[in-house]
Amino acid sequence: MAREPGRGRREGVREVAELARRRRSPWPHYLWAAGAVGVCTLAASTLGPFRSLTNLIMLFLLNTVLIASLLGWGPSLLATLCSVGAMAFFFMPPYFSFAVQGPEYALTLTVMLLVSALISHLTARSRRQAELARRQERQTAVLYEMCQTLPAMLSLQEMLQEAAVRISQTFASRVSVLMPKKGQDLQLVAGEAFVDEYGSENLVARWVYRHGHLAGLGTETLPKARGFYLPLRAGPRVIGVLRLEPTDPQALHDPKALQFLEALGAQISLAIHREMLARQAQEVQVQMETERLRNTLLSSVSHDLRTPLTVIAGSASILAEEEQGLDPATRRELAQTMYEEACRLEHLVANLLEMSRLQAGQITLQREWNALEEVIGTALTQLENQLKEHPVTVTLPPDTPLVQMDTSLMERVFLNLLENAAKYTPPGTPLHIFARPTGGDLLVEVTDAGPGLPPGQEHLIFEKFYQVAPGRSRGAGLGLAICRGIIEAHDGRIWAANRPGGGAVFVFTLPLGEAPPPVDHPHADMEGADQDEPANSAD
Amino acid sequence: MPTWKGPTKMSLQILLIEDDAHIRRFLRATLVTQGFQLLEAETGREGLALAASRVPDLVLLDLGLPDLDGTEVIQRLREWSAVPIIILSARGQERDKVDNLDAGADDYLTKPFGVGELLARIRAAVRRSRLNGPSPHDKLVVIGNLKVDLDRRQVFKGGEEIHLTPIEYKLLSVLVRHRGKVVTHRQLLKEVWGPSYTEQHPYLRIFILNLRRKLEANPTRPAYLLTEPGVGYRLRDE
Repeated sequence: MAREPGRGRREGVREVAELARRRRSPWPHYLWAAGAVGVCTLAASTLGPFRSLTNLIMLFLLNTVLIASLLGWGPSLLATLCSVGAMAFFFMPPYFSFAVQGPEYALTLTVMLLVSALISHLTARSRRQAELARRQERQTAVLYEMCQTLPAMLSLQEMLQEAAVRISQTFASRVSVLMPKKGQDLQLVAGEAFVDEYGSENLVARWVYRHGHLAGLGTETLPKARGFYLPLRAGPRVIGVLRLEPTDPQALHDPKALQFLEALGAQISLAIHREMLARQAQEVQVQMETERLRNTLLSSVSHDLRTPLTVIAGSASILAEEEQGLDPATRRELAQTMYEEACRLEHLVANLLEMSRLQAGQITLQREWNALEEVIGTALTQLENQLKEHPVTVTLPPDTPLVQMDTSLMERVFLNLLENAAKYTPPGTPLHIFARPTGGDLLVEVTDAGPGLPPGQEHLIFEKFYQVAPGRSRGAGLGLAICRGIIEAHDGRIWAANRPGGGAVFVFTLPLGEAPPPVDHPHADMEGADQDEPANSAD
Repeated sequence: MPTWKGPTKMSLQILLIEDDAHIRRFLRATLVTQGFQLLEAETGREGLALAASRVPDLVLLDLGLPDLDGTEVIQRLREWSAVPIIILSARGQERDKVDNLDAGADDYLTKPFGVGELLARIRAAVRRSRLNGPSPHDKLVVIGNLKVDLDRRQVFKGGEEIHLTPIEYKLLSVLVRHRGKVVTHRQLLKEVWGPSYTEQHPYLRIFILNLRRKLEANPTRPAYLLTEPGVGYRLRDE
């Protein structure tokens, strides 16, 4: 049997069950009734001068009415008999004997017996009806409350749990909700687990699931089962089974209770159905979004791959076929174009690979202590061609600490940021890289003096395949998304803004974490290094 | 088109071990045009056999051969030969590069590479292999406006002497000895600090940083002390 969810809420259920158990056990009530008659007899014996037969009868009748209205029909019947007995024994001659003198007394006793029995019956019935009305009112309240709360629940699981708890409180019963999981057999998804030694309960549950009919305790189908089973539907389809095992098996013999349970079941089914529809709608939405992204990617990537390939193929075919007719300058130009386009392709493929690795969650950071200066240097060297038109200045405080990072990924961040800047800012405008430690982070800024970002799009540019001006620039819109992926993998943040003086600034942080291991005085035990001074103090 | 500027290329025989026919064709076109004699092998075993029978002056070895692991080819070659080996590898194979360099390869080229880069690597490797022959020590090494006097342990930048700490000098001298060739982090740490320091990358980072600040005009765009990302450092040659 599956585990029981919602352990915490069961305290209340247990209390209710306890109450029900006490109410169900009748013996104390009969004792109370007998005791009341005893007290009544004692009281009657102290009446003194008012002890006429009429008053005595009235006293006992009153007692019986009270018992009937408080304890029900059975105890009041007992009280009736006891009262008649006490009257005969104590208050009618011959005293202290059940024998009755003369037909007059016998008639009195008989009438008293009949009246008393009638009264107890009527009183008890009105009591029962009142109780029924009260219960119905309570159940209606529960139903109403469920109508209100269930649809507002966040998840199906939560909703079912809530319904199970409410039903178990109302019916003083153990409630379980069973649903098939992933095409498997029915399993407990909410409520309490139940004992099923012989597997018969599960059999009933499966029958109900298959046929969509009520079954089990209190019904005409398989009434021997310990639980009552109610199918839960979403539209025409049965999606689960509600099982109810009342602490008092009699409770379900009331047709009203069954009706009520069916109403509850319908309510739950409705909520489940709604939840399922909502989830389906959401899935469709996600699917559409994915589809849209995939299309964007395909068109953008195929465009980006095809353009350089077209140039390369074209140039190469000219070179191959018209070798004689071309002057050396044209030949060189064609070759140079091919080379540049090939480099562009290589860059795009690298970015795509990096993106798919980031997406697949395959990237495990190869963290090592490294100097930002070195990473920036490598990126600048690789972008020598693209940055020809842009003077780049780098301002790093001399005491910039080493940072633990994945060097090749961080290099990719700088490559993409700088390449982006080169692509979107006019030739001749400067770029500036600036870093400083703030708090526990290293803050790095890459600023340009270009046209800046379209206001309001500062966040969007980090989305995959986002392009500020689609179609006009080359690139798949992956660069900044990759930057974000990498920085976030390093537990840092990245954002962009427009600078007050014009141009854009891209900022990211890298947590400094613990300090790097100190560069102590390593024993450079090879020849001639024995008088080294601490390296950082040099100069 | 970059052309060969190194010593006596006519006599040089290069063994290319590469399974991809297109890359072989491209390299054949390039190297034969440049006047090298080219031996070609498609598999590691074939390559090892050719290396033994023809004794080439240099080996270009592709990583990712169908039959043998690159490291294995290098190790087997190194059992009997000191021939310079240059690895051809793809981006993202930094781990392999480092392993192969530590196994005894001399240098590497990342695909895609240009002809100029290829020729420069061949030139540097061949020159080093000759230097390691009869006279291993240059007294005075000049690189750009840097001058390193290995005899007197002095370093000059544009005629002005630069003061280096002993460790900085040692680091520089190791790079000078291997100039033009990539030296892995491990190799540098081992040669400068000792075998028990091979994992202490922060040491290396900081000393390289300091060296660059002393030697380079712009430390973030180093002209001499080049970073080989994920692999090590290379001192520019010539």
